[in-house]
Amino acid sequence: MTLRKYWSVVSIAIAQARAARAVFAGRLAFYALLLVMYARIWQMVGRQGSLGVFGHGDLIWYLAITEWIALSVPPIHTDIEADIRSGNVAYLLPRPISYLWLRFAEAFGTLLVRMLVLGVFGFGLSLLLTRAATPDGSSIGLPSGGVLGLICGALTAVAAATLNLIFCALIGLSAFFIEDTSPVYWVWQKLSFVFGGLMFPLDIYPDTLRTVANATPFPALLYAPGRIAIGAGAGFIGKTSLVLAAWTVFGVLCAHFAFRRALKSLEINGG
Amino acid sequence: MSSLRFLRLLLRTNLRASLALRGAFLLQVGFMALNNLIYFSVWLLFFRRFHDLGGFGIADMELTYGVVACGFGLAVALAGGLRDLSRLIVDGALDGYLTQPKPVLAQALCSRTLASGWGDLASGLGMVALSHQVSVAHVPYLLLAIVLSGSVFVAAAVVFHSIAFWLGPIDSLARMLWEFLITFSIYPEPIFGGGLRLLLFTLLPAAFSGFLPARLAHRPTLLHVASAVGGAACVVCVALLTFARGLRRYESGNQIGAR
Repeated sequence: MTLRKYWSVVSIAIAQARAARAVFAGRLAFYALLLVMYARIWQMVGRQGSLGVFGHGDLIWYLAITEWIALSVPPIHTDIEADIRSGNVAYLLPRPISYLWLRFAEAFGTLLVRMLVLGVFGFGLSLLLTRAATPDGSSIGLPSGGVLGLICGALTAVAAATLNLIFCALIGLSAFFIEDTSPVYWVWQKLSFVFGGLMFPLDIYPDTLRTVANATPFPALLYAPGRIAIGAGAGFIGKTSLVLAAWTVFGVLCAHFAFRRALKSLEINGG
Repeated sequence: MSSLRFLRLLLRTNLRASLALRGAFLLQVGFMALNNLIYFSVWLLFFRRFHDLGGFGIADMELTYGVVACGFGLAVALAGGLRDLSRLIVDGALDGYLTQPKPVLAQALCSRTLASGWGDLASGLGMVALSHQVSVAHVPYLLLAIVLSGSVFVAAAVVFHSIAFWLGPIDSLARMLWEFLITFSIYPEPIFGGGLRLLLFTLLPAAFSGFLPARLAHRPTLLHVASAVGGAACVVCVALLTFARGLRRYESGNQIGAR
C-alpha cells in the first residue's frame, strides 16, 4: 500500500508531463541545437588536429548523454521552495503521504517521461550527426562502446539522473532555513557542469582538477554515464554502479534527516 | 510626472527595497558572481586544452561572456518583472497597470528587480577587464554595448512572454526560450554558420545580445556600431509592436486594487 500511493503519484506526474507538449518541443529544440553546435565545435577542433584520444563521434555521443541527463532533471527544488514560501506545505503535511517523497515521486514521473522522449530523440540525432561526420558518411555512427556500451551508459544515466533529483530535493529543503534556494542551486548546477564534465570528458582535464572532481559526486552524475557509452571497461562500470549506490544512500539519508529537522523548526502561522 | 521620471523613481524604490534586506541582497549578488566564475572556468579549461576555435581565443571569450553577463545583469536588475510577464497576462493581472497614466509595459517590467543582476554586472565587468580587449578610450562603447545587450534581453523576453496573449499559459515555454537566448549569446561566434547563424539573427536574436555588442566594445568601427545599434533597435521595435498588438487581446482578471 505504501509504495502503491507513491506509484499513483508517479503515474499522475507522467500523465501531466505528457500533456506539456509545447515545453517538450522547446526542450527538444534546445537539445538539438546544442548537439549541432557541439558537433561543429568538435569538427573545428578536429580540423586543428587537437582532439586527442577521443574521436569526433565519441565526443558528440558523450555530450548527448551528459546533456540528456542535465535536461531531463525537473526543477524539484523550485516546487519545494514555492510550497514553503506560499505556505502550501501546511496543507500537504497532514496528508497520509510523506511530503518530501510526494514531491520526489512527482518529479520522478516527470523525469521518466523526459528521459524517454529526450533519449529517443537525442540518440537518433547523434546517430545522424556522427554518421555525417565520418569521411565517407558510411559509418553507422555508434559510439566506441558499441550497442552494449550505449545500453549500459543509458541505464547508468537513469540512475545518475535519479540521484541528481535527490540532491535537488535536498537543495529545495534548504528553503526551510534560507528561504531563497536559487543561489545554492546555481552554484550546485555550475559545479556539476565543471566537476561533472558536462561539455567534455574529465580525461581531458588537468590531473589536479580531475583528482578534485573525483572526490565529489559530480563525475558519477554526468561523466560516468557518458564515459561508459563511449567505451569503458567492465571495472569502470562496476565501480560507477557502486559509487552511484553509495551516493544515493547518502543523499536519501541526508534528505530524510534534513526533512525531519525542517519539520521541527517549522512554524505555521494563521489558519 | 514624465514617464522617465516615474521610471527613475520606480527603479530607486526597487533598489531600496532590495537593499533593505541587506544580507539576502549580498548573498544573491555574491552567489551569482561565483556562479558566473565557476561556469566560465569550463571555457577556461576548453581553451587551455584546445587553444582557439577558428581564431576565437580565451580573450574573446572573456569579452563576450563579460558583455553578456553585464547586459543580462542590467536587464534583470532594472526590469526584473520580465520573468513574470506571461503570468501577469494570463492571470489578467495587468489591470492594476492599465489604470495608471503610465506605459503599461514599462510598469510591468520595472515593478520588480532581481538582486542577482548586480552580481552578473559585477562579474561581467571583471571579465571584461581581464580580457584586456577594451582600451580606456573605448569605455563609452563598452557601456553602449552593455546597454544594447541588456535592451535585447529585455525586448526578447517581452516577445516570448507576449505569446501568452494568443496562446494562453506559456510561462515555462517563454522562460525556456529566454534561457536559450542567454545560452547561445555566450557561445563562440565562429561555430555559428549557415542556418544557425540565420536563427541567431532572427527568431533567437542572440547575435544582438552577444557577439555584435562584444565586437562593438572591442573594435568600435562605424559598421560595428551601426550593426549593433540597428539590430538592437529592430528587436526592441518588434517587442513594442508585439506587446501593443497583444494588449488589444488582453482579458481583464477583474482585479480591483490600488497601486
